[in-house]
Amino acid sequence: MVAPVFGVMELQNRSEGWNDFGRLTVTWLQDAGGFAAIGLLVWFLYVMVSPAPAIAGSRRRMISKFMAIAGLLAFMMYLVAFGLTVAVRLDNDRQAEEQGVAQQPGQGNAPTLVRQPNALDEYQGYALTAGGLLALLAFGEPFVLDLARLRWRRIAAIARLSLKEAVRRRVIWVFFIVLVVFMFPATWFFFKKMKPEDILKTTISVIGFAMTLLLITTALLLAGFSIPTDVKNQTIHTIVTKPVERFEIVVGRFLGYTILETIALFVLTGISLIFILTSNVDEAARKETMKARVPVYGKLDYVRERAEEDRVRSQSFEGVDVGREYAYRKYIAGGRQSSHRAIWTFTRPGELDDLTTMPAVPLEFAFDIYKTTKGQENKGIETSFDIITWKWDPSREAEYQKAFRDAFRGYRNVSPSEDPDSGGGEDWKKVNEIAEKFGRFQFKNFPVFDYHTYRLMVPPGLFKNALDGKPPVDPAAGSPALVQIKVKCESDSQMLGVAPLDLYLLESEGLFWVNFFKGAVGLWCRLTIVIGLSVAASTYLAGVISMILALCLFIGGYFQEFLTGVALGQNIGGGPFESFTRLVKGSTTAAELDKTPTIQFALFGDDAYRWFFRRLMNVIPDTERFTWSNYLTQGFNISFDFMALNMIFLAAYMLPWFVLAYYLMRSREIAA
Amino acid sequence: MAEDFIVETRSLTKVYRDFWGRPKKTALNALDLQIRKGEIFGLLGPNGSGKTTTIKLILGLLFPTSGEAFVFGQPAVDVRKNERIGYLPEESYLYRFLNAEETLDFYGRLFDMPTKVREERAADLIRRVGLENDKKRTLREYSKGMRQRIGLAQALINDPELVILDEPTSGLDPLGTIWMKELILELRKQGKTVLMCSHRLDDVQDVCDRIAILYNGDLQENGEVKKLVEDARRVEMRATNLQLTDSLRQDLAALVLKHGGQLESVGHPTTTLEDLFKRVVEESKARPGRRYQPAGSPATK
Repeated sequence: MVAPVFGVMELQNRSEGWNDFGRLTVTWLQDAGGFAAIGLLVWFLYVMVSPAPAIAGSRRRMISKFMAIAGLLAFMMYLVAFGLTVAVRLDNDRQAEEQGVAQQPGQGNAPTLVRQPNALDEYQGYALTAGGLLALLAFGEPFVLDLARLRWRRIAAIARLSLKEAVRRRVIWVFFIVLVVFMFPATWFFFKKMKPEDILKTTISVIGFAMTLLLITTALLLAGFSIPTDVKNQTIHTIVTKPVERFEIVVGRFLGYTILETIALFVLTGISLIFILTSNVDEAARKETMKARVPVYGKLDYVRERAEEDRVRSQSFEGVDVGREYAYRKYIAGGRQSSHRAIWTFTRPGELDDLTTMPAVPLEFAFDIYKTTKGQENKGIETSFDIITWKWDPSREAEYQKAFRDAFRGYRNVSPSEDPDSGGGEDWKKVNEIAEKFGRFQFKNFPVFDYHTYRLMVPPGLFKNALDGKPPVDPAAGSPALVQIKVKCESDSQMLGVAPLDLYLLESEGLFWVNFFKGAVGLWCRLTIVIGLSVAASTYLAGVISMILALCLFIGGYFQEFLTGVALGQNIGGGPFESFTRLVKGSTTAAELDKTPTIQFALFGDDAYRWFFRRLMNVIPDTERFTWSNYLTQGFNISFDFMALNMIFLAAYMLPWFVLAYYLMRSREIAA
Repeated sequence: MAEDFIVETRSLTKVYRDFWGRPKKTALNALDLQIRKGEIFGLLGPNGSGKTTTIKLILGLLFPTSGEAFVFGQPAVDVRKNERIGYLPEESYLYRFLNAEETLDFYGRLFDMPTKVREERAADLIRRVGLENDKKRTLREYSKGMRQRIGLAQALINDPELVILDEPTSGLDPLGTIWMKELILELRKQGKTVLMCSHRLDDVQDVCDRIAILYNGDLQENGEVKKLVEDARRVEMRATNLQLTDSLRQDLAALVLKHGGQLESVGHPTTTLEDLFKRVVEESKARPGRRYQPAGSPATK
């Protein structure tokens, strides 16, 4: 019943799903549209001052009617959006005055305005989206029209050339350096004694890191220098004087290197997998990592529950911060009388459907423990699980207890039998019937140790109960809860640390080797970003500069969380101007600054800086999103849904870069 | 634009600028040029006169500062015109890790040619440029002359109507030069138009129908080669089976004087060095073991 080791994910910030697709599309339209509007302006200026239109025959060839009209409409929409922004600012002033707080961050510990969105915000959003869409249409029109002129044979020829170039220059041999990793045991990479189950995790991590480093470096070098070298050696002259669309060179180079890196990645992944599968893997590690769990996650809330039968008095809170620097988990206080609960809510019927046919549904979890007293030696913290469906009626508590008494002469924790032919055993059947009847299953005083993953079995009848009928819908509350798992820490003066992905229902387990290849797709996405960025940058910049730019953007992606904090002004001490002012004045970060003209100017400077930083954030790829090695090391399935969604993110990020590359190539004097 | 003009430039000007956009050098100044169908047109001029700039502007590799350039009646930046153009750059800028076959296959693909056509055309061109025995060697192993040959082959892969050759004889030995010139003349016979620029005036004179001379970006001369090089103030006369004696000289001087002219010189004509070289090589081929013998040596007696 109690498994000593299993996986736990720590990827809660990547929770976007298909439900968020609409919202993310609107955000993309606004962001990419803003860049398109700037691009459009630059293009108009270029056409007016550049000699290129002269040779093209007329300026009308470079700015079509559609482009001009859509551009004009976009401009008007942005004017409307600007007007609404001013209106929102004024409204902010009003709201700030009403609330008596600072309007924006950067005022030390002064409370900041919590803006109540109204119609103005809504219209502003509409105007920005429409403006963005129009700007994208205008800026993208020549690109889309020219796409029809691309010929696959030409693109394939350039792609083949890129492949041959890499092979003939013996670049592919570099890839085999990764095999060196297998010459050393994983423990060599970390100077500490390792738990057996961690050795495989470490090996996979080290392989992933080595492959990332090697493939990314070669991708940067190959892609960054390809077009600049062609220009330098003038080999590009014999290409562009053929009926080759300039963008075909970009696409051809991109595809060529992507294919090369894909083959290398596939081969290296295969070799790595063979090494892992044929190596002497510890049984614990095998249980921990060599599988592909398909979890069903719920939404976590921290709740103060006064009395189980009195839901009205239950209150959500943010969880207790015990002061640990790693703030991934929040804590609930333990004790028999403690009101703190961590509650996972499952709302999607489709996800629970498959669970009803299982003989027993595994519930896996791993928690952190924060001890305020030493507690009992070699004894875990007692934790109770109360799993209820929306049909559970607290007023039937006595009836529920009686059913247990009738079945087992009192309450007891029940788990299914290990014997697969027994159908879980007689006791389990009884528990299942009770769970299906009442919509409740309890497991009390489960001993939990720090960072170990455990498994509890939940009767499938509970999920049948949950899916029988539809729960009442409260529009204000969002999707209705079907199942709730309430976790309570029973040990006095101990704290239980939980995070959203710390607990999940296990739907099934996939094949490790398939998952291993899926994990490589994450690296493939990152390679695609690097190749795309390098090729796009190299249409205008020198090879070294293109490479450095792509590298900086790529690495910047790993610091996106920090950079977002800076861009949104969430960092302590304000922006650079405010920080400088504080340094000069010797003021602490907590102190409120006087509203002198100098301070106002500094805050304005920080505003401009943050605006710039927010734009920069749109340019930096979300590299971390495509780092899926955690799934492999922890033994979690990478779903095709997840992969498809990330592919869309990838395409959405790369598309503006390709449009930029198209314009840069088109307006470039190749022989200059 | 007249239909029979394959290339036309109107006040074509190119000013190179520095980083800040300030004019640095006027490479070409208001060039008006027309090249007709089926002619071999030569661009002449010293280094920096604007020959290569003109070609690059016509090919769309550079954008003009002002003026216009048309090829087959289409703006020079229009990629579609390239379907009918073959271009041999000054240096044979090809991918050196490819062999001759792969090179032609690659450029054939850029013309979206079907595989069979591509293969046939490549085999024919390799034969025509005399690289059959070296077609599997990578270009990095080629001599400059061989690279120039394969460069020409790639320029002809699409059977172009207009062939643009930038210094086609540069780096070629005399035999290679002769071969190149014969090939250019053959292209004219096939009805193709050739635009070439060269430093080697004798080459241009041998093959070009019309030329333009550029100096410092300005067009200095433009017209038919024969007319431009003809010296109407002098008369040349050739005769065979005649001994050059003093009396012949005197008679000729009297005759010229009678017609109001003045005899400048009478003598034996000389052959060109190219003809001499060609003859020596042909003799060497015909008589293996032939060696130079100094005058007076037993072999010459």
